[in-house]
Amino acid sequence: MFTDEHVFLQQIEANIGIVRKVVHLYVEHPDDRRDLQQEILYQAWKAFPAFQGLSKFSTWLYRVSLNTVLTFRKRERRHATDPLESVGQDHPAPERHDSDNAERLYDAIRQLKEAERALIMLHLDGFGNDEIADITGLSANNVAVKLHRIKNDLTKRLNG
Amino acid sequence: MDIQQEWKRLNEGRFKPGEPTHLAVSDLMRHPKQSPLAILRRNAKINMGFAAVFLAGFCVLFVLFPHPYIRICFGVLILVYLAALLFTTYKLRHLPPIPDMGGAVLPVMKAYHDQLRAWIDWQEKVALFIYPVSAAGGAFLGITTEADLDTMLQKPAVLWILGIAVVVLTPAAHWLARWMGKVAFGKYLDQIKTNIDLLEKQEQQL
Repeated sequence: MFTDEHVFLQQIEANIGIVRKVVHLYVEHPDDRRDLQQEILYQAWKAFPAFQGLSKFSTWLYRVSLNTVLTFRKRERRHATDPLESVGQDHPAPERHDSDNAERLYDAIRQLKEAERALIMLHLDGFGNDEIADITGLSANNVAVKLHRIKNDLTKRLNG
Repeated sequence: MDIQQEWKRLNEGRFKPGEPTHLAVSDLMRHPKQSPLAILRRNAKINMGFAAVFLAGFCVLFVLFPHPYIRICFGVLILVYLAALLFTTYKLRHLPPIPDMGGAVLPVMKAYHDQLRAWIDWQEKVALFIYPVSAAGGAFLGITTEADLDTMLQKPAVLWILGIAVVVLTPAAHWLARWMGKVAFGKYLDQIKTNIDLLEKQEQQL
């Protein structure tokens, strides 16, 4: 028999990338990242009984992750001296054959405003405007307009 | 550059777990820190606990020392502490419950920040008025244990010392209380304010 715990852990295993993504795009220091990732998992576990399956688990986990980051995040500690050092702490660093373009995209997204990072992250992960609106509390029209602007901005940064 | 393609590559290289995470429920319960909202609520309760202990102490002194000056001072302190306890209880009861992170957090953070900030400001202002009473009450109590209070208060030197003690102790106690408030509440309120500003700025940006 599958318990709630079992279902939850399975879902988290399948969607752990969401948590990592949010943490990495919003927090710089490895210790802060570790703390925050643990905090997100704890908050998700606490909030899980209220999750009624009305949205996809991934949508819900995105909302929990973003809310937790924005509620719990403290003033940033001193940045790690080497940006790659901070990446290698809790998962493997990207291999060299991951193109430089992917790294440039990551850097470009991190340079966006905080609100824009969440929108583009959700969009690139394949969420529709309605789902993004649901997670961020914006109207779908607003999401569409904003995404158009962010994509233009991102393209300029990457090509500039 | 195909942004979508690069994002996919980035996900695979950077965010995809290399190995199964083997999470257990015990891992989930091992949370490294408490929500600043929960810490604020807990610290307000600790503050109430201290106030209750002091109130009990003042009541004992009120009963044990019948001199009218002492009773006036401790009577004022008892009334103020009682009012502060009731007000704090009211404030805590009217704070919204700490939300789970699947819901809206901004209104709750704003409620905590605004209500607790107002409560701390109220405490600091009221305390400014009772520090002189408290200092005088303490001095009367000290004098009573050694000599007759009425006789001592006839001496100008004693009145001068009493006045100086009140003038020195009032700002010192105010400064100490502010510092303690900053340690117990200030940094968490600042943290919440930063996050509120961020969320509100996001809404404006969007």
